[in-house]
Amino acid sequence: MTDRADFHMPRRTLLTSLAVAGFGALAPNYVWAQANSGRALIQAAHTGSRFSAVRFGARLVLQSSCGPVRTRNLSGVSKLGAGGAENARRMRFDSPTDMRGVSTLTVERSAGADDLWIFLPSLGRVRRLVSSNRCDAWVGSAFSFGDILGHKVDDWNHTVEGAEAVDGIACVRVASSPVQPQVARDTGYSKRVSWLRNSDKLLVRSDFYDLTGKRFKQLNQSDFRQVERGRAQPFRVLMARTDGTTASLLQFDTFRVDEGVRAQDVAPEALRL
Amino acid sequence: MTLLSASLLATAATIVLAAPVWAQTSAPAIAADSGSSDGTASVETVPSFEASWRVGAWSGTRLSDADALPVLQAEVWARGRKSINDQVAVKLNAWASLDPIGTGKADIDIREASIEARLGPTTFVIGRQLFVWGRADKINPTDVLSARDYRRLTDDDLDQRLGLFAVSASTPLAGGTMSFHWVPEFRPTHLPQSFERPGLLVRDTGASNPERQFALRYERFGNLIDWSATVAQVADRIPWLDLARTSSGQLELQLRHPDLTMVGADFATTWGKFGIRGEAAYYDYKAADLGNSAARRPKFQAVIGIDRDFGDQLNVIFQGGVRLSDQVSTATGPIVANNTNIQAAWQDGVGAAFIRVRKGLKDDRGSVEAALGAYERGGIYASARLNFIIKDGVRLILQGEHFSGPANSYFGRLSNNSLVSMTMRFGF
Repeated sequence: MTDRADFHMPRRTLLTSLAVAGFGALAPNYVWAQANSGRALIQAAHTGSRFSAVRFGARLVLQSSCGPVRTRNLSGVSKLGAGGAENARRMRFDSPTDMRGVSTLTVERSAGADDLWIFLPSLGRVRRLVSSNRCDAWVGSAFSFGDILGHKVDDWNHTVEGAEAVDGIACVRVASSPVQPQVARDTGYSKRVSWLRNSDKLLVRSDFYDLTGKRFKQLNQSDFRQVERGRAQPFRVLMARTDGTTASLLQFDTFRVDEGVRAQDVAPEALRL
Repeated sequence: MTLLSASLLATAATIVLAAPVWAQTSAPAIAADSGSSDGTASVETVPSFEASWRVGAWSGTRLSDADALPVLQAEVWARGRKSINDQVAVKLNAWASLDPIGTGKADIDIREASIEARLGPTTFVIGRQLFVWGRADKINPTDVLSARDYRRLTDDDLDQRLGLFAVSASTPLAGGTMSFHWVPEFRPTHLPQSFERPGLLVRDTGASNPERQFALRYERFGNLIDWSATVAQVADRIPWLDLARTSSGQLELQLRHPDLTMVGADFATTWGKFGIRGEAAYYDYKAADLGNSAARRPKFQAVIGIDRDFGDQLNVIFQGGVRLSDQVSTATGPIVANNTNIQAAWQDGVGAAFIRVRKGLKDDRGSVEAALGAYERGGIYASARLNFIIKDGVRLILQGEHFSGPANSYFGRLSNNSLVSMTMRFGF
């Protein structure tokens, strides 16, 4: 039987040594964890999906269990402002004929509510709308307004859950929960789980959970193409309800990073054109 | 119809006949969509001009006719905008109808036929234009430039608007847009009633100096608030009734249009889940211009409204307002009473309220809405409407309108205009 004191000292020393050694071993992982924290990853995905100025054309294909497949053609421009913190996006529906000319302008604000305007040919004027109802369906699609406007990074708490491949692509899985109950009410989501590509942190898949905690919707992004040096854009964005009732495909036909987008191209006055 | 109008219509008809129609290309099912694109634009080519066919059945007319028979209607609408180059574009908007107001007579109208030219930051528009002003809902005090045909059997209020020939210039200024409009053409607003009576001539006298009509408007869209301010000098589109004798001694009901100066403003903003809109205008009529049959004239009108989305595409709008008027003479009689009613000027301050509830249908299949409006001591207006998209480009609209109140009141005198209708649109 060793002396108690003798036993403790070696143990303390051992523990200390282990602690030092452990910390030392953990240090790079700690740095990696900080750099790759949930929030940092989601921020990287958010930043990676935004371009200084873009012109695009796309098709929105709507499939519902209670009707025929419908297609909307739309075109638009977007432009980052305020040092990249705010994104203005103008979209115009080019078809079908009874939607032609319907245009929306969203201006994402870093502080406060986003601005949203709509122009309806049947109304004949530009109308400011409330942007807070992010949970409403966007033009009858499986996308919500919040999905289209984008989810603000700091409205959510982000936690890395681990590595997981999606369709053979190495990804990191991040779970996001609302910072405040109001965010859940506004978006209609109690949780989001995102799979981000290890290579560039772009979103590949996202699961959405309703306010009861049930997974009810999934987003898949694919057909990534280089649109700018070192940066890619998914050309195929599919949102589908897990119960199979509704699916919506946003297929980009053109996506051109274009520094020629002017401030007046994303101003409310441009909605009338 | 003038030669110019006929020429424009012939051109429009040619364009309509030659233009691609509204046929929807078949959409691939999502599952079959290969998901790949070679980057070339595969979007449906947007036609420069397009047509819309509309057919409808109406239980009556908007002519305050107690004996009105049901009306069957067929119309073709054409619209389009074509850029000639980066600076110049032409715009067209016109319709032709077999029976636009339920009198059994066909008619056509060119609502817009204009050339738009951009010179630097300034945009010029010359030709027939539609002016849609005011950010409030349904009641727009500043909307004095526009003329309407309230007799028109349409399922959309905007379709009642009449275009006006104007020369307009707009330019950016201090973060907003300043625009000037010279409007030498005068077109009267047609009230939802007929003044035809046996033995009575009816004559619209038009504007005495239409070339003097103009408007100056400043509009700004901001981070928190959108607003505009307008000054306009026009001949009142709404007619003032007056009785006179012709040179042959026959009794003539004149629809007169005194000069009107309007100074007004509007705004729109959001606050949390609420949208807030307001509009106000001051009116200046010269008493001497109002004729012998006006006892009161409008002086000021203001409305303020609030709307809220309750989620699941349910929206409610509530709007309240007041219309102030003053007395200009002690004239009495049925014509005087009519003018007072038409101008909603039966007392110094007339309150007004409007509420509309709208619910979007699932999968963007349309909407259903109900509205109620009332003027203090002026009766009530109620409407209901179903807008259903059968398929893309094919729409069914069912609507009903009801007017009630004392016989001499603003809405009560229109009680014979209560009707139901069913219209189908093929196209826009």
